Amino acid sequence: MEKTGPTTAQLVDYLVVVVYFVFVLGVGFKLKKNMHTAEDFLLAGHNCGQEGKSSISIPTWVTGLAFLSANLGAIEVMGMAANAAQYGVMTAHFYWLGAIPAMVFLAVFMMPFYYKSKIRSVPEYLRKRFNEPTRAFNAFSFAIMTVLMSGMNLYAMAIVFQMVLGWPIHASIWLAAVVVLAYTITGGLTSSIYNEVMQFFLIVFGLLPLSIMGALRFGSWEAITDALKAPGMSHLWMEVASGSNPMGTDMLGLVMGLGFVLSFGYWCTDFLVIQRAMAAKDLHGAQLTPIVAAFPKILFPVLTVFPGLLAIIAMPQLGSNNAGLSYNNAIPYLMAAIYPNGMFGLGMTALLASFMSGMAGNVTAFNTVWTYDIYQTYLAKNKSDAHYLWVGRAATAIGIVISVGTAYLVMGFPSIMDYMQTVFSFFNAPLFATFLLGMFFKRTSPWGAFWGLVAGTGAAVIHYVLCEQGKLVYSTAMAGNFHRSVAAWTVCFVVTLMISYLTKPKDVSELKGLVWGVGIEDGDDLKKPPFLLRPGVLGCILLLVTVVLNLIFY
Amino acid sequence: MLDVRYPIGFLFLILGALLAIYGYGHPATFNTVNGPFPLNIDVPWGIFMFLFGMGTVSLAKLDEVKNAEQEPVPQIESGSEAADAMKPEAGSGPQATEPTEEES
Repeated sequence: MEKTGPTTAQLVDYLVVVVYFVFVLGVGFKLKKNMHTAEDFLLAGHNCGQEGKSSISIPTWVTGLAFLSANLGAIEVMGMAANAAQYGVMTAHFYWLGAIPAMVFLAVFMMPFYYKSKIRSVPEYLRKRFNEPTRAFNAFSFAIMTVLMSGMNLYAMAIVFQMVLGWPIHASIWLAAVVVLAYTITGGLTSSIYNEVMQFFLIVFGLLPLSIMGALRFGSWEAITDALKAPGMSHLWMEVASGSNPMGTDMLGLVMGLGFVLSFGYWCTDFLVIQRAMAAKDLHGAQLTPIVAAFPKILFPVLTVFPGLLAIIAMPQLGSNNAGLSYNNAIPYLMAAIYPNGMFGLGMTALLASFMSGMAGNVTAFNTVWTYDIYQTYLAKNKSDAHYLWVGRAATAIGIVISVGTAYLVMGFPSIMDYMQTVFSFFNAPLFATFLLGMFFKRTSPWGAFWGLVAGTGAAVIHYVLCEQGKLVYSTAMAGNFHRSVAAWTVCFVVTLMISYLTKPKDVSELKGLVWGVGIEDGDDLKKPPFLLRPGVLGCILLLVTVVLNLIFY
Repeated sequence: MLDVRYPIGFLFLILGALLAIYGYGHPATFNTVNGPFPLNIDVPWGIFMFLFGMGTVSLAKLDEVKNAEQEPVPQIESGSEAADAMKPEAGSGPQATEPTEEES
């Protein structure tokens, strides 16, 4: 039977979704019996595993894929495809200019500090390296960021189901919230990691045929580039120098804003992703986690950017003022246009999996930061482990309820990708300057870090307000986000340095294992892995492949 | 602890079979540059997913067998405390010494 119109959901499609739900919930309940302590639940046994108390030992390939999947939320799948439909191949800069170099940097240079300092969260590193106020500032801002992001995933899921399956938006939000609650409250971080790995494969199997069938429909890359309206849509760098590219950005915004600040800020300091690497069984596993994730990540534009390009060719009216034709709908529209029933259900399940994995990642990071960095530190010290386990579970439930609220908040924004990068430019961009100075410059003082972080975040807020008032104008919202992140990072960097030279730094004896060159080698009792498995060697291979891809799609 | 390859493997075994069987019963075409091609993509993709699921479960099973072979068999001397502890008593079995799900 020849396909004549968009596919609509049939029984087999619903059946695929139901089978997936059964497995997701089953994994959570199966892992429940392994959750003995708060650290089992919140950290997947990382810290207590070192003392031999935990029954949890997660292989590196699992933490690697979870590291990747925690980022595979709405922004990755729907957002990148939407960006590709709007800005073209330049969207691949998020991978080949931003993510891959940042993941290599994290693995080689930063992970040893995170892992060896035996911290339970990123804010806890800030307390050890700097002081309590710096930790508090980061803990509260991170908690706010995670629930904002989590709500965005809920909202993205709801609009897909409303559009494709006809489900009411409110019911979709609550249903998704209940499912994520069920498997994160039972199995904690381990359950979230296990489901993220399952979701990774589902996302690949659900989206790959879309690219394959799209490619078969056009025949060649030349045919696709011919069909795109502007030459800049099929090139990464060709129109960057002139500034007249589809993304409307210049070299400074692209290289410094996206390639350095936003990407390194996200991949190297966001506890959501760091938490997955820290669940690895040893330091070598933790270092390899971002590397294992980077190899598939390098190919992800095939699953996200390429369908976005196909969508804008198939539906040139995308992006018009009609709300139903938003760029965000590029992937669901393409699925309905290309997939038959069965595959359509699998594609929908892949989208559902990506949103749930993005949401669960945020919720599990939120419950850890809330329990250890806010509740245990400021509200109830010296309680029993069982008490903190209970609080961790309660924080999971409360985090999800707040996410439902923020899902309704996101409804007011025109594009999820712009919303996301706005959030990152507020929180991650200044934080990266703090970490860079904290980890690699021992003169950085505690109060320098605190005031630098406050000033950097303040600069982002002021920049945003000036943009909203029309006093700062950029040709696209994305270009504004890139420049805002550069401003926030620079202000944080400069203020931190200035105040550090005016205030007293920590004694070197207190910085052991926390700053580059201060006693990090002392605790290194691991034997060196084989040459080809060293993070530095694998990192060089990744960077080489990235350079080649940049040249091919110049 | 649960090997994550089992849920992944069984999920794709079931979804693969579902897609392949449904696609076989519902012929369809998809458009290529050379015109419509008479194949429901559900069939080859379902078979591919099924094989992936089978491979994943097999790998998990293989590792389980290897690990079981490598584990040393505990040598228990007759009359020792450990051997006495392993003797079944009336009303008690191995499950009596293990924590229940509620306890854990």
